[in-house]
Amino acid sequence: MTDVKQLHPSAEDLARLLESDTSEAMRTRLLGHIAQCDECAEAVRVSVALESDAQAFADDLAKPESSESVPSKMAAPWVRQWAMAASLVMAVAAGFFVFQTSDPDPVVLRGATADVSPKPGTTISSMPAAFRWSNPTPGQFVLLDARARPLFEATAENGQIAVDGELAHVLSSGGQFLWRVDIDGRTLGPYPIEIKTEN
Amino acid sequence: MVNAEARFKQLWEDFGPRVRAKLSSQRRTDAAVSPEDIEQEVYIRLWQSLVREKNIENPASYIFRIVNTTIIDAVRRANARESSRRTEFEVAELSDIDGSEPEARLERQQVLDALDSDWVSLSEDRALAVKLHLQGFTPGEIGKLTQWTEGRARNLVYRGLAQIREKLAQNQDAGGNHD
Repeated sequence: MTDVKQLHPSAEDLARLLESDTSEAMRTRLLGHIAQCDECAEAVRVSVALESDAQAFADDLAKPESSESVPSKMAAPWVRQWAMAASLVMAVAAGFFVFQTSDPDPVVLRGATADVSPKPGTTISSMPAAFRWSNPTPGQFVLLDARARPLFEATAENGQIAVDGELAHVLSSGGQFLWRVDIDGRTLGPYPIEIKTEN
Repeated sequence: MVNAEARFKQLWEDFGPRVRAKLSSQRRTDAAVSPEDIEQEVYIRLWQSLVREKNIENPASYIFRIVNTTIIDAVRRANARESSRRTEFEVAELSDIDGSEPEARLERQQVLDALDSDWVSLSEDRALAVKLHLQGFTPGEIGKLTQWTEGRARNLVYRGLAQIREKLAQNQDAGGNHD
């Protein structure tokens, strides 16, 4: 069952199968592929097994939020750390919950729309010389690991921060990172980047 | 907004380990890409998808779709990475240590060969049910995918396997070769 040479169906089509959102002809075609393709079968098997968990995750995430004050940066360290992680999630949710808001603000460059460098979502083979963004207002640059755990934080001016010292050390091992800039209580980003080093 | 952000992180902290647990139970123990790696990829890709999306009309359904497509892509990418790393020799070696009993693997292969042959003529539904069963789907999951009831899926698997085994037994008794 591992020598299926035909093209794999798209993840979107397989997801439609999981959600019973296909025509009968497409369902037959997709099932015929899964029956012979170990890779797609494993992917679908995991998704099917997670269905109720995933649905609950989606339902809860889609519920309307309510307002609440943001923890102060002068709060205790553990509170601040939580706030930093939460602010990343807020930015994620902001892109997601924008349909609920009526607060378009050009200063808050959410998601991947800003003129920033390195380009969000790209993979680079070496450390960038600097992180750059288009807003020159002084702000707090924050680098996080792929799970939104803060790795480095520093004040930045003129829309950039040089990659040297501790920041270079943190990035030197490569991997997937997120970065954001907090400016006047608003967030630029967060942006994902991946650095693939030779080692 | 803070409630939403806290909820996102809280929900992921619950959902992420579930993804990892399911992957752990479904993957070979010797797989080169670990469940933790795939879980992390799911996290990143889900995060990236949500950042990009705006103006969503049906957010729950949309998130559900994103979760499913992300998991499917992440698992398949992991498999593709593993495939590219391994030589045919290594794959042959792995097939001997994939955790399943030799007898079970032999029977699985016999059933697959029978399904591909023209001397066991299963109905389309039975053949599909057996193939999905051999791919590790439970009757409930087969029913979900095919839109059959679980009972029907179970019966089709059971009867399909029985039909194949009967043919195999006849074949062995006759000492014939059906290639």
